[in-house]
Amino acid sequence: MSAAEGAQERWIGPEIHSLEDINARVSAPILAPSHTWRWWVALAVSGSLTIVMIVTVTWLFAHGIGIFGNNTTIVWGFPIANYVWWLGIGHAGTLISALLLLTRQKWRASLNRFAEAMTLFAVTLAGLMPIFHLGRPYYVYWIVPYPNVQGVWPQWRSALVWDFWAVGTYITFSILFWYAGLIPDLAMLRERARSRTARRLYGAFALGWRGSARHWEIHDRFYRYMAALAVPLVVSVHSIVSLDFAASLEPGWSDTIYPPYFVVGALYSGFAMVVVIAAVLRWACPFKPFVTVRHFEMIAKVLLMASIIMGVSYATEWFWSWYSGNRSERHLVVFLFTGPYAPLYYCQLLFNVVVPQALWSGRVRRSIPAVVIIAIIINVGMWLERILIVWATLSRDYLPSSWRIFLPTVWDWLLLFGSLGAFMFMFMIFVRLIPALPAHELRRRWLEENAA
Amino acid sequence: MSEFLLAEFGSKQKATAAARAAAEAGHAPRDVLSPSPIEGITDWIAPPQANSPIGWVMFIAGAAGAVIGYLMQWYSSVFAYPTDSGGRPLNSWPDFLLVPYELAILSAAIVGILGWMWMCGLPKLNDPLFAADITGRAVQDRILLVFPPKAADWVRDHLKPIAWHEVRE
Repeated sequence: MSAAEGAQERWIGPEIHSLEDINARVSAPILAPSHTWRWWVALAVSGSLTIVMIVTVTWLFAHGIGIFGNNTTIVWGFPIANYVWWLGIGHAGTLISALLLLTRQKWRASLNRFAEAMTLFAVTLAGLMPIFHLGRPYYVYWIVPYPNVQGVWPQWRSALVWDFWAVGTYITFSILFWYAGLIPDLAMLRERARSRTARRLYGAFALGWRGSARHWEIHDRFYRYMAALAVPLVVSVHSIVSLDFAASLEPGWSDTIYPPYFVVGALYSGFAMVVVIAAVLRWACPFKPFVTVRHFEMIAKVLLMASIIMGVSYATEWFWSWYSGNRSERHLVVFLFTGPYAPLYYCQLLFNVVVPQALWSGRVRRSIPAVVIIAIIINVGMWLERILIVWATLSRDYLPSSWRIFLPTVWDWLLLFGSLGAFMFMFMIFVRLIPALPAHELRRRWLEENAA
Repeated sequence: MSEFLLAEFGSKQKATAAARAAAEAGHAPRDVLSPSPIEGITDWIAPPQANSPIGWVMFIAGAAGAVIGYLMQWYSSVFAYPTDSGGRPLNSWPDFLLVPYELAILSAAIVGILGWMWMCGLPKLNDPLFAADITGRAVQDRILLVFPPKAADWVRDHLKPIAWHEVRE
């Protein structure tokens, strides 16, 4: 390998001189935190928003879903859009981790741990949303096939039952995959933690890991198989979510494009969220040598590609609604462009398709603030897409006498922002308890890069 | 008498070379402890590392999960709780493929992690190797070759590690 190629392959900054540098930096937020007041402020803000979410949900359980803007026509509202959006964000973690592992992408090691944590938290919030949206949430366990005296079984032909299996499998799988990658790092913390309780807790969760070559070999193999399982799983989860819509007969929903369109949208918003989290971690923790500008540049390229696919998907929807000759389908597209939701729809197209085209420019891709701003815009755009999928079709289906508009209430917004706060809150706790970067993979990476 | 002799190395190249030299002289290390995996070093340990059947275990678990998932739906909707849903056949197999797909992945993953633990003998919080303080560095930045007592004389004469550590029980 020539010197130039060697530099190309470097993903860890020159500030790192030894394995101990990696260990110290990765465990710093847990064992030697700096700027803790910032962390406390973030915890207070996100904790308050979490309380807002708890209050909203309590009020919801006491008064029923009438507190939301849902009406007799638009029976799905914010919770379903939030569900699809959060679950989409939950896709990038496992995908970054698994697909980049299988394709031997070396930039993975800096991102996978916190991206997987993002998955866990986002999917948790996503899974709660449809439960909140049930009129009688205390019957949610009816969706589970469990032995009961009435001899009742779930309706296996229902898309909502498929959702339960998809989301339930995904969250369980993600926890296992995340934990399997975490064990060697927990062993490192077991050795570095100062308090006896911490040593014991990390020690117990590390299962007695001691870095044995025999264990590494099986671990490596097992981890690769898990990655190979994760990819088809990720693709299936948002495909199944899309079937909630596509398996209906509503105009605009009953489309074969829905599964791939949802999966790409999920990755798109998930990668955008990874950018935001990576930037925050880079700013708050001593992770600069690991999360470099080149990492942002790589994700920016993925975002650019996904934005183009999103654009093609939107155009495909327009084309097929025209080509179908179906009056309701055609009307729906006209309604999106000219109806009361039109400003939101133009924002969606601008945020998801037009703005990300700035990433064609290398200068933009290499500017972290620019990529972060674009990523936030994408996340807003993707939320607009999710809500408009719900609103537009339900507002204008086959029966003109039931056409109505959705007007959100304050509770809709409180649930949305409360869930964002809860996400941030869980992340704040995570970074102080668990290494946000995989130290053992960074050690391996560094040794490969410095093999001279 | 010491239970084990640990040879401490700072680089994986040196550790691999030492393990190889020892193995070729018939004094192969029993194990190697390292902060990140070292490719190929298991070629030089004794008893040799067998190919782990983890892939097969996961595959069989996945296949069993899929079959159980399908049978559950078939039994419940054909026999236990038949419901006419828009005139569809009771055994609506295309709709019934989603649950087996998810269950296959779920059972492969759960059995996989349990299988990995079982094959590694984990959890094991009280391994004798933890008696040496240096074992704590093996998960951070040092590589340790673990030699049985009978190899002690030869390795002390021939290998040049950073340090030697004896583990007593």
